[in-house]
Amino acid sequence: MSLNNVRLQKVVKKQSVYKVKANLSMYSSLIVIQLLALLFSLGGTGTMGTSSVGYNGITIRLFSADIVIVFTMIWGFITAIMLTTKAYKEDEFIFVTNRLTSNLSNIIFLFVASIFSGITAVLSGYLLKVIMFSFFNYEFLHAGTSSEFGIFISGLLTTILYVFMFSSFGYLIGTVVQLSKMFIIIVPVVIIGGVYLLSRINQDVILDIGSFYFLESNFFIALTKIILTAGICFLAAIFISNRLEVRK
Amino acid sequence: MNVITCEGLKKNQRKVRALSDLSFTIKENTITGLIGRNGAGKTTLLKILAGFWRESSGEVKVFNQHPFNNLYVSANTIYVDDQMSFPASLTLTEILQEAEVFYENWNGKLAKRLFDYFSFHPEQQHENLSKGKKSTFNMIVGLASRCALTIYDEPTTGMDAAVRKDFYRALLRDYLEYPRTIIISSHHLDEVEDLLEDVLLLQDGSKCLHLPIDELKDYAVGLTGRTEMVRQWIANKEVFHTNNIGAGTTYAVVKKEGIPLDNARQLGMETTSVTSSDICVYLTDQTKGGIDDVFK
Amino acid sequence: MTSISVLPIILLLVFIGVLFLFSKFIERINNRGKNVKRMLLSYVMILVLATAVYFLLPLDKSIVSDESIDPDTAPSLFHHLNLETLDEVDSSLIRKSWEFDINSDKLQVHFTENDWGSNVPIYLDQVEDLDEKVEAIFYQSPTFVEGVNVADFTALPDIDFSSNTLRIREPAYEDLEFITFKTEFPVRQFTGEKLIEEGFFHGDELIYIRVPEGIDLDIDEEINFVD
Repeated sequence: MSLNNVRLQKVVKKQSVYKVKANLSMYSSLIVIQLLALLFSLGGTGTMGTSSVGYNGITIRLFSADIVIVFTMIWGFITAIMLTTKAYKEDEFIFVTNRLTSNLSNIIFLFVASIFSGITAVLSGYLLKVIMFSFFNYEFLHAGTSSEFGIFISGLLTTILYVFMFSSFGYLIGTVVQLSKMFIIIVPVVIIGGVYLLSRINQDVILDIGSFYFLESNFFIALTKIILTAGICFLAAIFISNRLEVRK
Repeated sequence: MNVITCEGLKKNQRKVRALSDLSFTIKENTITGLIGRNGAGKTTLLKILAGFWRESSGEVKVFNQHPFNNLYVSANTIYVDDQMSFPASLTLTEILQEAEVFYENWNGKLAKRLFDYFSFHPEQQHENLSKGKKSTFNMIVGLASRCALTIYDEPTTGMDAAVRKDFYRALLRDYLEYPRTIIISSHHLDEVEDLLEDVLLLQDGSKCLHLPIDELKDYAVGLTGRTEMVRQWIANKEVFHTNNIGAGTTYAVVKKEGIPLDNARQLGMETTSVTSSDICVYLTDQTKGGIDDVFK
Repeated sequence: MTSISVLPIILLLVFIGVLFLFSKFIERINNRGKNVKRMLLSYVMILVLATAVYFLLPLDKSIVSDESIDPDTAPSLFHHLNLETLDEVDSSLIRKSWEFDINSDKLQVHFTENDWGSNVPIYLDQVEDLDEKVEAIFYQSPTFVEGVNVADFTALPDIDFSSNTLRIREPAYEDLEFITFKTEFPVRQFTGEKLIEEGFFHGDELIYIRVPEGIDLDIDEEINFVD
């Protein structure tokens, strides 16, 4: 009998590759959700109008992939929760693993998923615009500010990290729920209650939290905020799940 | 060298005691049968050994390490049962390829041959297999992984008799070629008897017996004779089972050690050997008597 | 007030729950690795193709942002009207002008509203410098939105002259729809762009009719006199 010594790093690497293949079906929901969001976006992400300019009223529809990105963030959240559920945990505890490698490879998987879904979300904006331009007979105002490549890349990276951050929220919540099914009720109650209490102190608390991330105009500060938040959530999840039993 | 050591192992599952004060050791390169009735704690024990579940108290060591959450133990252990679930997006062939990535000793050739022998379709999905086919596929994964500790928990669920025979044969042949420590849990000992070197019998979460199979076969003896005589004769002996089998006739199973068999025969009692499977049944009988007593 | 802030959160949670079940369902019915791979490949191909097409689109040939007139200092037409300095305003503010010969000392001005109601006020001025002529000028100062003067797209009144009658007919009311493309919010947060900018900078418009002095006028009541 020969015993094999394994290195954590190697196992994490193997598992990450395995999960990208094994969880492939998660991407089918991504595509459907992004297409759904695209459908919702066909009516315009925003409109503004006035009733009288000369003899005419003017309506302007604004098109962007905002809804697709928001839906993709929710998909990241949902996907992360699913990863923590029993069905997926069982798939991975078939092969060599422990909780740490399992968590690390899940995080890597979620990061890969964030990269893919973030890129497709941003590109779907172009699909939306091509559809609007080609198939609808509206007067075309202009193509918005054509941003330079550097800005495009910062936006793309930020999109990816937003999805990643939301998947970290999902992963933490999913892990907590694995501790006890009671948390399925407790977590929403705590969130709603928390918002309620906070908004008694400060009415704009949700807006404040939102603008903390989404209105940060300095790229590096935004990056730091997002990565730190995701990091804290993932660390907490790793810490909690280290005592969980599997294959019940 | 001992692969597994348990000292005073206890496990509570939601206030119910699944394992209580279990101590035993399993030596390297042996095939041990873990026998016990439903709910005796077989699966609980095996999942603790595989590192899936955490013990409540006591000490458990696999390869001299605490198995829970242990990567080293996980890398050298495979746990096969009928609950194994594989990702739906992978075909059977892809699952075998993935297993090969994880298990260093993986025997791809054997896996391929067994795969063909049991005529699996390469493009099939695991979840679409029948129960028996699933067990057969899981068995292939278990065999081909060649893990230093291979655990089969009720591996033959759903398999037909022919496949079962094939499986045990394959297990034995591969074991001879590549010795490792194997634990098979089952409630039919007679089926796996020929394979085993040791038997660990569990009852209500604690150890009932842990013996080499040869000693188990010779562990007890059956006595048949007139009721009064049998009753009197076994009065201060270790009795596992008594049963009235006819008018005035009683069958009793007693521990063979120290029994003057010739004496018994002279008294007109018939002595028979008791199969190890029956011994296990008698040892783990919850109540005195049997199912017949329910209808009395 | 506080219940208002909690409601969107509850709706969001419900929405996420629905989406969760929905994607679980999708993943169940489409779980074959091969199918998903094929689906992924086609999706990515469509997106890449669309992106390539987007950059090939003749977007720059579309309307170019026109801000030659600074909206902040653009004059109010009514201000000029009151000061009787309409003839001094930049000629770019004249959308259209009509000039008709008259050879009678009588003039009827007839006005037909569209069913929306009058949008553009009409002013009539009797001036000395016209001789046997009547002039109608449609002044329109720009209405900027998204940096584009949308007033350029609006309809013109129909003005004609025959048998001593100047007829002004308003065109039917119509809502003009425009589309404009915006970058996504993770880009906008760095460029300072907003999805909906400040909105419209409204200009104004009026029809100014000049007739020779001393002419006998018979005009509809909607038409205002300039004193």
